[in-house]
Amino acid sequence: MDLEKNRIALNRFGLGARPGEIEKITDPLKALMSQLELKPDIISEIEPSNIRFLRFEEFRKKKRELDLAKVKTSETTMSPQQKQEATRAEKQILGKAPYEILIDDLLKRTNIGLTTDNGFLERMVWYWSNTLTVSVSRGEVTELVVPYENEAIRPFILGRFANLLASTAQHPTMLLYLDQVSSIGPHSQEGLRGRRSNNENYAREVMELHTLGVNGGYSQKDVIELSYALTGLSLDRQKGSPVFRTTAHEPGDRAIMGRIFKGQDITLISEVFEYLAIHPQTAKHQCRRIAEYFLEKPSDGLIKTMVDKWIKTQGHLREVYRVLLSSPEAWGPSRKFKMPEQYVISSGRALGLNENSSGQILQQLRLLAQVPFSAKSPAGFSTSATEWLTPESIVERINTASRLVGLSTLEPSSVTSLVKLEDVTALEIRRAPSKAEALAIFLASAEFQRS
Amino acid sequence: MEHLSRRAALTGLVVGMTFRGNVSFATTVNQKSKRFVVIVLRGALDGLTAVPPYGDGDYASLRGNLALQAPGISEVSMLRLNERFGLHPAMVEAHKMFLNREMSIVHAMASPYRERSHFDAQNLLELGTTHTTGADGWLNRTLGAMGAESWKGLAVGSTVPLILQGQAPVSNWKPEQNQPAGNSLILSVAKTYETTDPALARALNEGLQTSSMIDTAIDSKGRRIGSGFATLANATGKILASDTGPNIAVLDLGGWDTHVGQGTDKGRMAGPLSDLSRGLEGLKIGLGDKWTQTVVIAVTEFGRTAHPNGTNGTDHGTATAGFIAGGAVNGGYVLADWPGLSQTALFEGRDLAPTTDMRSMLKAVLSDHLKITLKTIEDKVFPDSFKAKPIKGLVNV
Repeated sequence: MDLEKNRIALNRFGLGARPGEIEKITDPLKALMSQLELKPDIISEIEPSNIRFLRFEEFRKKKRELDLAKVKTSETTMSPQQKQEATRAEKQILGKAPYEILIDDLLKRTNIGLTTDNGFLERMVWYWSNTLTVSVSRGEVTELVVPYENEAIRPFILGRFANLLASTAQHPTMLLYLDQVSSIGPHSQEGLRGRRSNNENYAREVMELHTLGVNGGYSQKDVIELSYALTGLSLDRQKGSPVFRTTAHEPGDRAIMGRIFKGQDITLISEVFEYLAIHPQTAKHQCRRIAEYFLEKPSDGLIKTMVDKWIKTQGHLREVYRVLLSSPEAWGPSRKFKMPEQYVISSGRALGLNENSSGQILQQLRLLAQVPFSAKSPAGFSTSATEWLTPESIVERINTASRLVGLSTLEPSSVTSLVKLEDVTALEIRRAPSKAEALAIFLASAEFQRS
Repeated sequence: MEHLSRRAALTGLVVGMTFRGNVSFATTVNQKSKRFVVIVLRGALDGLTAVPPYGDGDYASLRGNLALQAPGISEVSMLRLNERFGLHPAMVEAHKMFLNREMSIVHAMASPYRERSHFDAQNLLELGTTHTTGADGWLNRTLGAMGAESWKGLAVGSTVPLILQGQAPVSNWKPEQNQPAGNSLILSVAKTYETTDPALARALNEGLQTSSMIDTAIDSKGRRIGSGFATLANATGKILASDTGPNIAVLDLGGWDTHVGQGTDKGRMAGPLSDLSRGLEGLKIGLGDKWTQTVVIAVTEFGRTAHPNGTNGTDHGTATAGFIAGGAVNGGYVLADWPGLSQTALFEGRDLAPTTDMRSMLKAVLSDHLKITLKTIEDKVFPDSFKAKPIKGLVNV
């Protein structure tokens, strides 16, 4: 049994080994490949996004009414007790606030992270959620971000990239987040009537972030043309579901990257996305990013084999992952610095924590500034060490380790074999003045912080 | 230690002393209002620095630059307990308690453990047996002996420590919010980075310059201001103060593993000692009326070497000091069958020799404060402890 390869399978290409997991693997490559035959976990007990959307619309409406009523009754005449009563009554009417629903959602998502057996699949979910990202920095999608991942990302990470891209494009959360809902063809019926125009936000991010990449060979004109092509793709606010409105669609053929695209309905959008999804620049952009997500310095050669497979299979993601996982380089020396999400979840797994600790785990993610779906820009969270390896964050990670170990009752000896430790680290752990401190030294160690 | 020895008598103990003042009949004392708090000092507290035996002629030369200044000379002097022992100057609040006869100290004390592993020694301390492995702690067995249906235990912290694990159900209160990592942890991690990861070493070094972690808010006496432990102890006291509150609680305090830079009045021990001192005061304030019914003990897994090591600290030793405080305590004494500090008197030529078994202190509390019969104590709570006779006169009966 090659313990080191088993560790790599779980720590580098998973969410981190839990005590006892390493010894159970007989074939590390197979342990990863077999996950590709499965379906990624879906977070159950989360309402579909259309229900959530309608709930939020209702919440907004009621809040507006309550605020108007508040203006009428003078608040300053209320005693603290009356104010408390009023707040309680308000809460009765409004129900859960969006951020409360978000926390519930994130706790459920954290539970998966702590307990799943399919670490590689969940890492790919994280990767694609971060690449085709939506964020609560836009308040109105607060309740919609985790349903988005559930519906538009999770079921599609093993199939063709074109399908993944299309599913995100047609999801209410994405349509709201990147202002697609307010993009109207200037010469469409609605455009001419209300003198409204298109919005380039989504089109730009599709090209820059989701497909070709910033050096992918597109021009400003291409962005505009793409945004025209997308007009009409919007949200039915009565149903909370996507809709294509011909009356908002910019008429005419579209010229994108030297090709002409015809069609005046949703098939136009499908064709453009298909074109972008299998484009060699997209292959290069995404394959490099995927490789760099797991490895510190993937070679151009490795990336090229992934790109070739992407092009050959027209962007079949499962096949591309296979190329990465079966390369010798994937199992070689690499010391990629863990992003906070990976660090915190892998710490929880190493300590054998379960859903009882999800709240504390989420709290640590907040302190390390990587709560899922809270990225400041559509580019998502950076996956590079330069972003995360800072003096403040290193200190904070030691704090995190110190706080999390208090939740565990494991013996240091059951966790310290989860990672290959250098002698100096093993010695400090052995000499630690308490078991809790021994565990914390382990989590804070360079060996654990890199995978 | 079965009776007050001649040496002990020389340190100011009155032979045959019973309790101060009130004669209380068992029937009029409400047992349920008794409180017992255990503070586990993890990391091996150096008894010779916490409670320096300045009256011992060998102390100053043995301890070299770790020797504290005898009482009454300057503001860095140790605080006087009696003509033989002093108290570390950072423990101002505890000193007041001692003078107020609310605190005593047991010195040259150790558990039966004679190796030098923190984990094993802490296990043995918490198990209350002569083994380093086991399933339940002596404090849980104490609850069982008292009647677990009516006597409640509380673990303060994120998990229930071994000392309180077992058959009797206990509750757990974890303080909210986000404490920063302690100095000991940071220093250990920094040490590993030096060898394993230059990039992390640089980042941590820089981060510590700017962050307020090491030596945060130290006042002129080297005491940490605004200790988290004092607040925690105070909050624990308040929980215990309720009539329906738990009777038994356990807290943890670390920072004692001073292999490097131990210091004298200032240095790595000053902060934790101040924490302990303020913690005791915090408990007292929190407990309010219940303080008169309370015994608090603070014990550590072993002591430290008598000679300083090469890095201005000490390594793992054997005997050390333990503290007992509370309104129910017969305070104002340093109980020690003092072995002396000459080279021949040291245990294995390196450590303060143990002359009192820690269980003698613990059994005294269980018998005199919690009114558990000695038979039950020796059958159920501390098996194989027959030789460790309960210290008489430690607690008001």
